[in-house]
This record gives sequence, structure tokens and C-alpha cells, in this order.
Amino acid sequence: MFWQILKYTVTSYIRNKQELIYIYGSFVVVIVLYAHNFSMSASLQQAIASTVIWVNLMISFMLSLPLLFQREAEEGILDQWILLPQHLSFTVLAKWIGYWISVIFPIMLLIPVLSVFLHIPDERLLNLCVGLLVGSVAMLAIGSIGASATVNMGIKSEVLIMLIFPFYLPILLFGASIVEVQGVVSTYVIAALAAVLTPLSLVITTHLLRSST
Amino acid sequence: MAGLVPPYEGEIRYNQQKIQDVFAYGANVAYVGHKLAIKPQMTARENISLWANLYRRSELIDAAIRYFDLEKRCDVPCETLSAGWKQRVALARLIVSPAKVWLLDEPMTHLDEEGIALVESLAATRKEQGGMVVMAMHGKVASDHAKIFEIS
Repeated sequence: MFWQILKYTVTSYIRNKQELIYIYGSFVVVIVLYAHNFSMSASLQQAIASTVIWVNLMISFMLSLPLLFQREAEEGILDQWILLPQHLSFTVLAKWIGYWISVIFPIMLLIPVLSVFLHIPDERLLNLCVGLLVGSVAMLAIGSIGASATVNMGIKSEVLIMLIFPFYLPILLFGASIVEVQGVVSTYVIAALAAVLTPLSLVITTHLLRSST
Repeated sequence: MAGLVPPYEGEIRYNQQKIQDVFAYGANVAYVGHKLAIKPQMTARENISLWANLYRRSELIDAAIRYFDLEKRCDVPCETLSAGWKQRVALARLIVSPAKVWLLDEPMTHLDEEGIALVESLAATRKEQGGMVVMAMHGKVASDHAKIFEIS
């Protein structure tokens, strides 16, 4: 049952290609535009490069999160999921993973390619990618709470973005510093955040979704 | 009755147990409401298969498609179907669901006479096989063996 929901999530994202292309596209555009900013000195560009990537990732989340549960709630599929013999939190987890595979993972794959534009030193790149990977999990966890709140309390998605943003800031701060000298510590911090947030968010999201009818 | 919303007053029991206490109560009911639980971008066949695979009754997919006469329309995205056909796809879920209790909210909306007859005979079959069908309706339904509760 879990795998079917996962498969279903990925399939419905693939069906909605425009949405995906919009998200990937905006990610690439931001980076390319930033990279071609000739008025900035190369060293300055390099210094801010990783922050740009993190902010960009945040933007991609902001764009795609409000719809995480919205469609299913509108279509009545969420109601049916609540009725399934499988506990709703498994369904939510499957949806998360499906979302991550369809939306976030392709962006992750783009980052090493795009980082060429941004002149990030190669040694730091690996750390950065690992940090991004872990950070994306944390962001997904936080964003999911917001997304299910949208469904539950009828909060508009624009408000949602403003709600989640403050919570993303710590991750952003730690993430941007990964490229620094003692950057590895930041990765661990983010990993710890992710580890704590994921089950917490799972519980909260499930509860919010359940009471959203 | 599906347990999606807490009762306003009183309690609901299933097999003499309060539904909140029944483990995985949702598996015992099949609910078709106003929101059809159809993914418009997917075809009818895919939609029905979605639920059939979740309930592990994929052998019934073709029977469901045949029963509601969807054979010619089962491979186009549901958003291109008219409301009546969408209703049929939503109701086809009943055939693949293992639940014995059906909760139908105005199932006859948008259906033509043929569709209404299909639903009525489906409900009668379910009852014969030892289940229960609860329908909320605005109009009258032609059924001799139905208990009618009028709520004004």
C-alpha cells in the first residue's frame, strides 16, 4: 500500500509536467542569472554562491509545497486515504518521498552541474551537496506542516509561504556556512535538525490532515 | 458515518462497537461523496486501478469498467469526461472495494436513467450479499426493500 501511494505520487507529478518544469526552470534561471552578474567581483560571487543555492532551494520548496496536499484534498482523495486501513502517517510518508523524488531530487542532481557556473571549489562541493540533501529533508518536514495547515485551516498559500519562511532561516544559515572552513559541523547540525523534525512533522501533518475534513 | 467528522450528537456504532474504537474502521466502509476522489489527469482505468491495487482486488478492475459501461471511455483522462461519466468512475470504486457498508452521498447526481438503474441494482446486490447501503438523496428511489428516513 505504501509503495502504491508512492508510485501514485510520482506518477501524478509526472503527469503534471508543467508544474515540474516550472520549478526546475526557475531554479536554473536564478542560478544562471546570478552567475552572469558581471558587476560583482569573482571572489564576492564565490563567497555568496552557496547562499544563493540554498535560497534557491528554499524558493523551489515555497513554490511546490502549497500544492503538496491541496489537490488531493480538493479531489476527495485525501478523504479516501484517511479511510484506508493503513495508518495515515504512512500515507503521508509515502507522499513525502514521492514528492522528494519528483521535485527535490532532480534539483539536487542539477546542483553539481550548475555549481560550475558559480565557481565553488571542488572540495567544498561534496560537503555542500550532502548538506543540501540533508537540509532538503528538514525543509520538507517543516514545509509539510505548513502545507497541511493550508489544507486544514484554509490558509491561503501565500500566507503559508510567509509562515514557513522564518523556520527555514536557521537551516539557511547553517547551510550557507557549510562551504566555510569548519563547515562539516554545520552539516551535522542540519542532520540533527532533520532527524528531529521528520518524525515530529509526520505526527503533526497527519493530525492536521485528519482533521481537515 | 465514515468517521471523517466527529458526530454532532450521540454516537455511531459498528457491530456494537463505537466506530472510534474499531481498529481501521475505514476499511469497513466505502464512501462516495460529492468530491469524487478521482484524479482528473489520470484515465478512468488508472483511477479505478489505483483503488483496486490499494485494496488488492485488481482482478475486479475489468468487471468494474464493464459494469458501468466505461470500456470505450476508460483510456482517456477523466477531466475530458462529462459529469455523468465521472460519477460512474467514482462509483466504480464500489465494485473493487472490499467494504460491506456503502455510504453514498447523492450517488445519482448527473446519472442518466441507465446509470441510475445500474446503481440501484448494484446496491441491491450488495444488500443481498450481506452488506448495507446508506444513500443520502434528494429525490425518490425506486426500491421496495429500502428503509427510508426523512430528514427535513
